[in-house]
Amino acid sequence: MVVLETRNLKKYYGKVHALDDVSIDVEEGELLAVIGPSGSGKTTFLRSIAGFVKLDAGSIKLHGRDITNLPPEKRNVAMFFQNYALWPHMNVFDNVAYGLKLRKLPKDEIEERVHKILKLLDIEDLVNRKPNQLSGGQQQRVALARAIVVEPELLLLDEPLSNLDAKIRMRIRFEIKALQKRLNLATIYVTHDQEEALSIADKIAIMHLGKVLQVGKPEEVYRNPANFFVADFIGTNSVIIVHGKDGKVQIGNRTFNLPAGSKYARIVVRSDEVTISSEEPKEEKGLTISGKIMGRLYMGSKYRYEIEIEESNDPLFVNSQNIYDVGSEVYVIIPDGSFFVYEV
Amino acid sequence: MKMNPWRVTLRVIAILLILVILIGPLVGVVLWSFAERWYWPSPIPQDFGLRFWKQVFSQGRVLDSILLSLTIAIITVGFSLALAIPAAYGFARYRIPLERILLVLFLMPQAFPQLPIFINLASTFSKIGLGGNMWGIILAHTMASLVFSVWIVTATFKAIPVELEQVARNLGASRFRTFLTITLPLAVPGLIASSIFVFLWSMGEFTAAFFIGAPFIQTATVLMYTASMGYNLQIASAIAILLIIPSIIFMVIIERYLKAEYIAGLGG
Amino acid sequence: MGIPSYLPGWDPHLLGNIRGDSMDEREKSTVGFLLILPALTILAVLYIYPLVRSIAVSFTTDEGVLTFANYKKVFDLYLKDILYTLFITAITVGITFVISIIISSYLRFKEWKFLDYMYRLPLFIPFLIVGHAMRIFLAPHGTLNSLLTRLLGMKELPGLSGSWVGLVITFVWVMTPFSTLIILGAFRALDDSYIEAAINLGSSKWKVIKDIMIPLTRPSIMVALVLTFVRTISSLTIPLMVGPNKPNMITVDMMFRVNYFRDWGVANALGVISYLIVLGLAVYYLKFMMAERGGLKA
Repeated sequence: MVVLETRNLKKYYGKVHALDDVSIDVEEGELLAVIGPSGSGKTTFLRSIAGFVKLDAGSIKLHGRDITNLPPEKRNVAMFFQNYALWPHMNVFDNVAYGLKLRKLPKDEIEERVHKILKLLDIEDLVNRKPNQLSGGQQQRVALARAIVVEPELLLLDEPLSNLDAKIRMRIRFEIKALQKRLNLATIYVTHDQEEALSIADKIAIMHLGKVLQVGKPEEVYRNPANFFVADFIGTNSVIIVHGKDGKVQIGNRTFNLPAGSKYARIVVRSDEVTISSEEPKEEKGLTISGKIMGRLYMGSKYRYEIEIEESNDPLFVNSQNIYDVGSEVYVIIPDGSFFVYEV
Repeated sequence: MKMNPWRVTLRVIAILLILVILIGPLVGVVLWSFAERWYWPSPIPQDFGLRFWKQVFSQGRVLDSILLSLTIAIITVGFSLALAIPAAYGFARYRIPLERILLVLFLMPQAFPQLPIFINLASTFSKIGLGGNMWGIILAHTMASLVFSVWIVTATFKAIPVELEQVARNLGASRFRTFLTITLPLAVPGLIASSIFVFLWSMGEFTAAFFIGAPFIQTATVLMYTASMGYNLQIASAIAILLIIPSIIFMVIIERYLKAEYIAGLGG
Repeated sequence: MGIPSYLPGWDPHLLGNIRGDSMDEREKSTVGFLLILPALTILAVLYIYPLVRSIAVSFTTDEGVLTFANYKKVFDLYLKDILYTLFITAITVGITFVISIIISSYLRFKEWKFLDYMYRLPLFIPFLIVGHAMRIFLAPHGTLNSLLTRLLGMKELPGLSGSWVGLVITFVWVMTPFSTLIILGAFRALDDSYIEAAINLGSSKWKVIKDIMIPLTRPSIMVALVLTFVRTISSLTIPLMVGPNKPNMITVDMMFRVNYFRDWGVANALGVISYLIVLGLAVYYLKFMMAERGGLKA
């Protein structure tokens, strides 16, 4: 069942198109991750659903109810703010209970529901603290509790992990996912971190300059990127530009046809999915490029190599667990599905 | 660390000099308020006593004027907040055309010659029955002190992250409810600071009180002026001390808000 | 009183747009205007109206006929007072500037809590009370002379109250903390690296103040000077209580014109002249700021 239906959303700030004909749906219990670089319109999209951005055109339906022109307080979507936005003059209980009090629930029910949610998020013992007495991770949970305690039809998360340490972030990613599945809550998760999106989402929407470039399952988006931007934005990649000759681009063991008018091709290589070998491989599968190692960086679990190749002025950056000397001639073997060619 | 004796001497002299310059002028005021007899060239009064202080608190005229000043100041604070809170919210949360110019307009009464304004206001007020009337002074004080309340409260509202309000709206609170439960409680320190500025300004204001009120009603400052000019130095000094004390107390309290923009108007 | 940490220190630029214009999500709505309307109305009725009225009255006779007689009278009677007012104001601004720079520089280089708190003492004392205190302090038999005669072993010293010197002393006493507050604020906002770089290159502290600190904080210093000027020239109570009987500052003339002669025409003409002086200064100030910043800050 479709929970949220957005159609042709448009929003302009002067000449800037913050939202340019955006249409995305969210299904019941689904976690949609919206990703894109800053200025892509992802936050504007989220805020327009919450009602904080007045749209120039388009419609938003929540469970079939048209909410396009409703004020924020009448929408029954809960938004989690990037900076948590906990009220400094209220303790944890009052922060979480605020939405329930507005719904005029009986006092004991409010207390019961607040304690239930705090227990669920494992922050029951913080109930009397003020926000400034909480750590970042604790504040994050309180803000989350405040958003979901009102049982919204849709949960909106705006960069929920961006203010946390890298270490905690990993753990909380799983917790959020588990919580969302447990509550079976339709959720939109905005982030600029593609890795986070890939790991947590049921469905990913990639935005750029106000446009939705691709919507699909994480694997789909990763394996079949719709265009150069998506291919480059998702995953750890190295991009090289190869100039064409007589309508063809030749690289390594492969030749690609260029459409009329194209001068060069951009090749996106998934850096982690290559093999480096000092001998020429026999198999003709995939793409094999020969080059010379110009630099090596130790990255802990792997090495990052800068490889100079004949076909392009751009070096190829690839990762490998094996060690090769700087200056040695090697072959980089890229399996099919780990490189993408886009003509320009 | 061993201190160089010269430096210590220099420091002591500097401290004394600062004290003479800054406290010196006030010492005479304090001495005079307790002086029952003081003739030159004695450095201190020949007779000390509380006679004039008793007079201040028992004599109807003095006490009345102080109460009048307090009443005017408190009502002015009320009016000022009532006008400034909505205005400041407007400035902070809505896009207002000519925002800066309008804000500077509120500063005008304090940064442009004030006396002609009060003279003309007094002459208009006297025609419509507000001359010699407490409410006339309150209106003039409210107008002139709006800059403190509007500016401080605007800055306070602007400093409250808008997300704090948006969360409340998002959870189902109306705009008004959000204002009452979130914005206003968070703005309390700023409201108090602005109230203190308005209160102090009104208590110490002389010109408007003189032209609008006198001779029918006398605020503490007007009475002090009359007493001082009439060489009734004891009474004038006692009133002066009563007016300085709240200033100094509040100055300590709102040290954080001691910013030039607000103080421009203080002192009258 | 606990002030939450989310309240930043006051900054006049906060009054402008916090967010950039394109990202300004504040609603453009008549509601906003309606909210400021009551306060604006008060300002219009109780400030703008008397302001316009003062100008109008200065150009009309009691019968409402257009006239320049009031201004002629002002120049006949008060030209000397106008010059005297400018003289007192200019000296006050000059001395205040020097003392403020000295205090600010000292406190910028050395922490001295005692001075840091003490210099602000006069800030909140109403001008009228300052006037009264200075009358007592500076009188021929006042507290200052009582101290000085003893220190110097003399019998009598001339009093300063009722003279232009006493008036200037009082003005400087009241104005210095305010202008120091602004200038010291600007000095403290200066990055240490500017000053340290100069000192490393061998500049004396005095040269650093003259060549680095003052030029870098010129806009703030201008604000301090302009406001000191306006507050001095607009003050009634201090010249009334401390100044000599003759010549008078024009504020005192205005008061006498109204109180003794019921002559609003001439009083308002004097008022308009004070507006013009301040406006002239304001224009100069704006030009200065334009040149300084390449336009007023948006």
